[in-house]
Amino acid sequence: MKKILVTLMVVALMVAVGGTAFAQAKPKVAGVVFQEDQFMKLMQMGYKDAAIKAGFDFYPGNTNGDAAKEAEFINTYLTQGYKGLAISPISEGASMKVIADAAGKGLLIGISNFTLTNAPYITGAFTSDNYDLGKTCGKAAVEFIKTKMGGKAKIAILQFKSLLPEQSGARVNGFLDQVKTLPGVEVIADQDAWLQDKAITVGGDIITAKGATLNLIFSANEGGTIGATMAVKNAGKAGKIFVFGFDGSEQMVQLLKDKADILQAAIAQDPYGIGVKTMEALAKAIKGEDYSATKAKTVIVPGILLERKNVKGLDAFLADLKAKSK
Amino acid sequence: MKSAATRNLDLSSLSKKYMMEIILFCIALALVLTAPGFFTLPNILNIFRNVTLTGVISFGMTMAIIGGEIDLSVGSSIALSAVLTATITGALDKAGIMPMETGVFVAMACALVVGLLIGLWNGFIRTRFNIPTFIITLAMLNVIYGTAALISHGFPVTTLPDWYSWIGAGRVFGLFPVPAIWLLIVFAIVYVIMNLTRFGREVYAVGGNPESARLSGINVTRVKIIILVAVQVLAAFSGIILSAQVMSGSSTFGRGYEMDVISAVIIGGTSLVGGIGKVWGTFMGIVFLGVINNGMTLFGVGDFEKYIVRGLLILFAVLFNTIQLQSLQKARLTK
Repeated sequence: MKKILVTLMVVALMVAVGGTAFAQAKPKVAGVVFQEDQFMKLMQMGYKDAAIKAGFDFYPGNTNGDAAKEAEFINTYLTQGYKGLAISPISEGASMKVIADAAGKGLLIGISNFTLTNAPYITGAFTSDNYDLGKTCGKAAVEFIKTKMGGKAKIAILQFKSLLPEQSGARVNGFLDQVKTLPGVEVIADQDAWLQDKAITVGGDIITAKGATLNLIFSANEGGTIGATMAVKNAGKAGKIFVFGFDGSEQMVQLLKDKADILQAAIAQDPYGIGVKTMEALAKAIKGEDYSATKAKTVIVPGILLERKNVKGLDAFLADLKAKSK
Repeated sequence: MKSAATRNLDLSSLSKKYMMEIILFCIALALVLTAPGFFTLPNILNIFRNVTLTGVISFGMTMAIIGGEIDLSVGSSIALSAVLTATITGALDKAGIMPMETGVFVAMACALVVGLLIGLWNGFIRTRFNIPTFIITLAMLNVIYGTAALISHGFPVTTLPDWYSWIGAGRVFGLFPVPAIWLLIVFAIVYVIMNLTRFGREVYAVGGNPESARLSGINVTRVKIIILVAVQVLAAFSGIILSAQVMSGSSTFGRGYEMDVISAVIIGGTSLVGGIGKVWGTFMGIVFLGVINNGMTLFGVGDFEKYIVRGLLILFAVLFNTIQLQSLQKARLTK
């Protein structure tokens, strides 16, 4: 009896191992992001959908902004025989050496949310142009300042330079290069606050300190924009202080439609599209197809300006976002 | 008539006793004189509003640390509570059971009950298996964050009624921020419990020497479980206030709050070894951190520098407390 049981267990184990081996016959690819916000979540969904469509087994990862964890992930994928990796790296300095080493050992790598400089081993880099996005938002702010604020504005900046200095700086510079063309514009505060709760606190501090003069806040990401808008609302400064920001989400659209009239415009990126395009280029490389159109190149995925005055545009964006989020 | 030496001794002991208040007064005075916009009623009220989220939990953490325990999972509990409140409100509305306006009360109650259950779980593991809460709550921090992310699917949940923002952003008489009132209420309750009740004395006794406390008839297990429940329920309450401020619930909420909470408690003079500490001291610690953070923002200090300043403050507070404790022990020995 005992022998029969042991034999049965061995057979079951063999079937299980065989089944797993069969299930793993599909090429394995990973999609790694570095934050848990909506932007990164949508990007990872893009990776996943494109990977499944290409017939791969998909494995998600999140480095949580930790370079050591990023290196650990990449080394694991390499040793476990993954065919490809789509990744949003933390930064050029912290990430590219490990990525280059892994690519040199045969792991095909596509990059998202990042502008390449001299990386011939990459299947393609798909990103928004952060400076350009900031510039688009800045142009909307210039029009608003001219028509609604008499061409004058005292601005506070909320950004994330201690988290991602390159991206944050590009966005803020893109915005400021536009608004500073107006002679009546002055930046009176510049702080880091990229999470909603922190942006409410820092925004609240700035408003109470400079509330008499401050009349516009620019925030360089979603959390900062929502936090800044709520800080203005909480301080009872609706109609006196206006907000321009970054990224698109359900709550951002709600705030853009809110009667309180605080958030005026936000430039939304297309994280899902960035994820899909990165994985598609990677899939071509894995399958041995021609991917010269993207190899070692940076491809800009355009953003979309969400404006209070364009309600139809807001509705269309929200419907698209909900469809992708399902 | 007191001699000059006695007066000097009185001043010395008074300055030691009220060191935190004196330092806070000096910093506030410096900010009043130098920081533009600091000494205005809106800014002072703003500081109280800002410190509410961590402050509310700090009072629970004071109880826990005095009782010889600690809870490192409070940040994740904020996220879970906020996500649960928004998700349950939306689910009740969607299912047609009750509209968001009333459903949010059920959701808030559920979030508080979940906080209570997490506290009970932490307390059970602590007392049943004698595992340090440092380890239990470090593990729970990940479990709770993961649960919040799973429930929300990683997206902010925005299904909350308009009136709900009053809890986190409303004003009484058009002036006093509602969150600051929550802070004062929680302070008053915890102050009374710790200073005027038998249970408060039991917490000090258990934190000072659990074995002696047990031998003197105190139910150490009950005390430890209650203080761990208190921290979690207050963290859940803080999550409710935050979700009302932001009008959404997200698994990204509360990151690193445990650091701010423990900082406020330590700066307020509570000893990490247990048995020593004051609720009033924590209140001063909360205000102290709030004033420092506010002052740094007003001066436009960068985030990197803020980290250094906060870290040094905690270090100096711990050093100061240790030196005071050592001199107290020395004085007792010489008597």
